[in-house]
Amino acid sequence: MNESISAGFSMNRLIQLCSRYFAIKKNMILLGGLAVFGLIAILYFLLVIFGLLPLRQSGVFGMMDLVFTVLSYAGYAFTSTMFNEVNTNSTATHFLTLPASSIEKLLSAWVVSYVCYTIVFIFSLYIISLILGVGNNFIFSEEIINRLLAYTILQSIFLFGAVYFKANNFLSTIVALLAFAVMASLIVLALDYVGFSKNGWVLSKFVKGDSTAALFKSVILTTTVSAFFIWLSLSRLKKRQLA
Amino acid sequence: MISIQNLSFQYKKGKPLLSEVDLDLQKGKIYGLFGLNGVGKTTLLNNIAGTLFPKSGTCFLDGENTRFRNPEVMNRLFIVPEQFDLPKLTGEKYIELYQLFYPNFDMEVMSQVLDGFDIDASKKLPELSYGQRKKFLIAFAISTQAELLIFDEPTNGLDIPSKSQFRKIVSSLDVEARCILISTHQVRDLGAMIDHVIVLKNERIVFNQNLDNISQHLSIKKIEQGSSVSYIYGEEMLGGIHAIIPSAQNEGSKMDLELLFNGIIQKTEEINKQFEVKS
Repeated sequence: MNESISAGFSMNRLIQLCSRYFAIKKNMILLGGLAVFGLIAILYFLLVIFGLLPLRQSGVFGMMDLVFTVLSYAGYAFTSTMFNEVNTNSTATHFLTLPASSIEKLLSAWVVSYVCYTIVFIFSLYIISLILGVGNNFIFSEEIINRLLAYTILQSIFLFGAVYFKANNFLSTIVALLAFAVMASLIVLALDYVGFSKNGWVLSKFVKGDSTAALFKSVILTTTVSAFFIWLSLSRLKKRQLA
Repeated sequence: MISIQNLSFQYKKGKPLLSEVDLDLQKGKIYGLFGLNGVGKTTLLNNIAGTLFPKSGTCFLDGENTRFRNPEVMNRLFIVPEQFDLPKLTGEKYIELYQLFYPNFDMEVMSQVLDGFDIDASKKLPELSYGQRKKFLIAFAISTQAELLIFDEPTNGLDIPSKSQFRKIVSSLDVEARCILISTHQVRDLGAMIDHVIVLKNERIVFNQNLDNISQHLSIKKIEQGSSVSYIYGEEMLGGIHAIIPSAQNEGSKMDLELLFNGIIQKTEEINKQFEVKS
């Protein structure tokens, strides 16, 4: 009698899928890591060579801002590759027929591209802040936490773009986001024109309050929006067929 | 095991490829799926595997709709596509990572088949030739112990010794516990192992008979040029005509699948009529 496998969610399969991602994306992860750290090292040596260390506070924050942006976009680009296998017929059959549920496949992509990447992201920021002599205050500042929350939302949108688009997922998602931003701006302008936004944004009102309450509300908002895009990604993955 | 009911399929920008196809596949048989180029054989296989969704109709594997790609269904089938790429891993790493998804995976079988095909699993898969990669994937497919094995043009790209090795391997499988579906144009390579013939034509399955039944109803004969023997379909050959004739007294004869396929394509109705008369 053949051994059957569990029909429900399986943590073992999730771990196996994550291991599979690490194995097949090993080169990309290594190259990406080397590129980012190479860039940081070059930057650091340039600062040393030109005697610019220690930086003035504005310079430090400018540098950290740049590093944050680079790491964020690297994360979005990495996320956009998570379902490349489904975009090509020659690899899609293998991925789609792999005995794991769509939710396990999606969650494994999210764990690798968000959870694991964010840990590396924060660790990198920490190392760089040490190099620049910023200290822990920067990493655990409210501004960084808010930016990480924004990263969380955008990452889930890029994850959706990775499943939704069938080619050039990173660029396609950026274009879609830009189009959405233009549309949203037009709607806000229109609302403003007819006098709907006199009392300020509903969103900015929602996250107002003392800093802990505002942060708590931001976390809830981030979780909700990210969960929505992850759910959208799951629905799309279930419907994916050979191109 | 597989039950396809009223399945129709068409690509977004294309004409219908499959229309109201009904098909049942049982364990213990090796099915040969034949058809002209572009008739929809690969599309049918992909519908069965759940990698394409029918426009209407269903495909069930023991009552489970394959389009939902549930793990317990996907664990029971394995498809070896005609064209495929494997991840940039060594064969050994691939086996280590992917066997975990198949609880019945048999490492001993994998080693035996790889040895038979003379494949070195320590090499990186993309560095192997197309034929070698195909042999690797065939070995993996067989080792999963999947109950439904789907091969799309399995011998394309294989050298001559590997083709015979493939036949040997499939023949040595415990077919009673499995259903094997092979789509191929290489009738001469694989004809000997197939025991059920399915032919797709004009969006439909126009022929679906097992070899015993075929042998009972049709015979292959070489007849003299100008002979008065009537035949359903024939091809000229040196010194006569290679012909399909009705098998009057259940005489039976060794089936030439290539001739039979050509006959079905050219004379579909006449061939099928033979089965209506006697069944």
